[in-house]
Amino acid sequence: MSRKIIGKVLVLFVIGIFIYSCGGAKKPQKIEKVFWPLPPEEPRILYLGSYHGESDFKGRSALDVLLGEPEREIPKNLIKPYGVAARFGRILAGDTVAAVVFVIDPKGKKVSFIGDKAMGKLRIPVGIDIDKEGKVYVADARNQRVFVYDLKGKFKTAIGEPEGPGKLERPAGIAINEKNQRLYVVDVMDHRVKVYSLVDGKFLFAFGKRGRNPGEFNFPTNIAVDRRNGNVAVVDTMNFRVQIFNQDGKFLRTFGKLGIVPGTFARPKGIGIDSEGHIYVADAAFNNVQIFDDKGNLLLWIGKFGFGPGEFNLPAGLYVDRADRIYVADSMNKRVQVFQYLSEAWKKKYPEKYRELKLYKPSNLKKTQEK
Amino acid sequence: MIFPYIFLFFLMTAYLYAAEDFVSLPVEEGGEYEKGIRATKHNLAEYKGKFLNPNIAGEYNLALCMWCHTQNIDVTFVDVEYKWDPEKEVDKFPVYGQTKKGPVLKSVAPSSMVCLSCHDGANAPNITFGKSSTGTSVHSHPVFVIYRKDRKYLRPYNSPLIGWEGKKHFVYDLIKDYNGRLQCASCHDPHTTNPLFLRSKNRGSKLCTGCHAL
Repeated sequence: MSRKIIGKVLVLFVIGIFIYSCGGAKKPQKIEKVFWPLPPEEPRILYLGSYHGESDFKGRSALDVLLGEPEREIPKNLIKPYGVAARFGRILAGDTVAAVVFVIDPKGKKVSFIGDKAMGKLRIPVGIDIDKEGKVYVADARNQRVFVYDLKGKFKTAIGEPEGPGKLERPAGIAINEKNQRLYVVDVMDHRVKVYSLVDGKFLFAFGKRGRNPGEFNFPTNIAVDRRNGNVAVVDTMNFRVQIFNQDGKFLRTFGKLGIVPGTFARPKGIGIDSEGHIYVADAAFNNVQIFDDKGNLLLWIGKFGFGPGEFNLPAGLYVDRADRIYVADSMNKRVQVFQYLSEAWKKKYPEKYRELKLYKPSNLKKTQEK
Repeated sequence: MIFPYIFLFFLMTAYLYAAEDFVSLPVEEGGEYEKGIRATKHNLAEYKGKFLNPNIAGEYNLALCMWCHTQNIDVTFVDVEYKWDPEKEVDKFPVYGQTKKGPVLKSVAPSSMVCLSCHDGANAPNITFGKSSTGTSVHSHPVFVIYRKDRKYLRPYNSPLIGWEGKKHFVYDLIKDYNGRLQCASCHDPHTTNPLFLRSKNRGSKLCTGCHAL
């Protein structure tokens, strides 16, 4: 008799554990606040969230999962994003495998696509930027052009000449300077930065050539414009450095070299500059983002290899928008991660959130952010 | 009286220097790899007969290797100070998804991470894998998948591979270091001069038939 009861209890216990484990996997985990640096210091970078694509908004309800209902429609998600940009409340991520640009609208909770129609069909979208009229510029590495669309995905024009110095061999990173109406395109295979007019798309001039001296490049990939003074920072990937030029292509300074210690690079890729001139460089070999001031002094680095918030698996493109939000294309994690730089302006705008961060004492802080 | 000792001292020093040189530059292996790297697109260093890297200017062998074999490079710590977090410990970065305990991911080996870190579509031709959102396969050959020896049309572990480069003699050699999964390095060798950096020239689909049985 008692043995039977024990048996029943055991069976129930096992079933209970089974159900618990099923539920546990689906249960939304309590998200710890992730920010850098750790509390006694002034918080600087706050993790805001990640976006994967349509499944962010079309999630199946718990009941559907329990009843095992098949998904009506397969959600279109990022596969291997590279370029990223954001403006007007939308996040744009170029996917090198799906060959489209995802336009993620977190407020409207929907995803639309650019470059999937016959007109202006993309093959390998890499660099993305948006101007103030809502025109989206997408550099396509294989089509050898920079395509221009509106935010709804209607193809407008293409930049890049078929012959001559204005020909793009493999365009990668692009950046817009709205003050002087210029489009800066990094040509990886030509080892140059080519500058076009935003007004009529005409080629203006190019700077750099292949080499190791200041002002020369070896497979440069990404570029960002300092919105304060118009300087451009170019990631010179295979020289393992960042070079800074003025808006006319005059060399100003360089920092970084090959290494595996902080302040050096092994596969520098995405770059962005915030409103205070801090330079963010994503490195695919270290799986982190290093932050420098505009002179090239290292301030901090964030992230490590992993799959959680603030962890990267081959980060690629990086973009800093006008509100100092940092977008990192986390390519092998198939998502775009968003961070906030806690500038003085942000602290004034959100004093309560700031106070919350200052007083925040999470239990497993040491575990989530390895010191 | 003292001269033989001085002579011996010099001899020993010379020997030690020579030995050190020999350790840091393995001539036989390096020579073979070097030839392959120099003649192919993986030679990122050489341009118009000059080596481009700013950090390792003179050393010939390293100039070809350090692009990928980054973790082997000893870089002395410069004065690093995190201005935003002065207390933070300064340490080397783990590279390519490894930690001090070893690789994090079971499915993707660090050696494949090295390939992927450049082959992203911008720096170098894109490596695509996995399934697209519409469900169709978009890659050319499955990678990071388990080699199922019991599958039809797949050869067993002990079937020989003839003429493959890099100590690959049996099918099992392709996967034994990677938890039974196919990696980039199973079939490709970045140091070889074969087309597509394959481990064997694919004449008559010889490479394919190493694993696939008709």
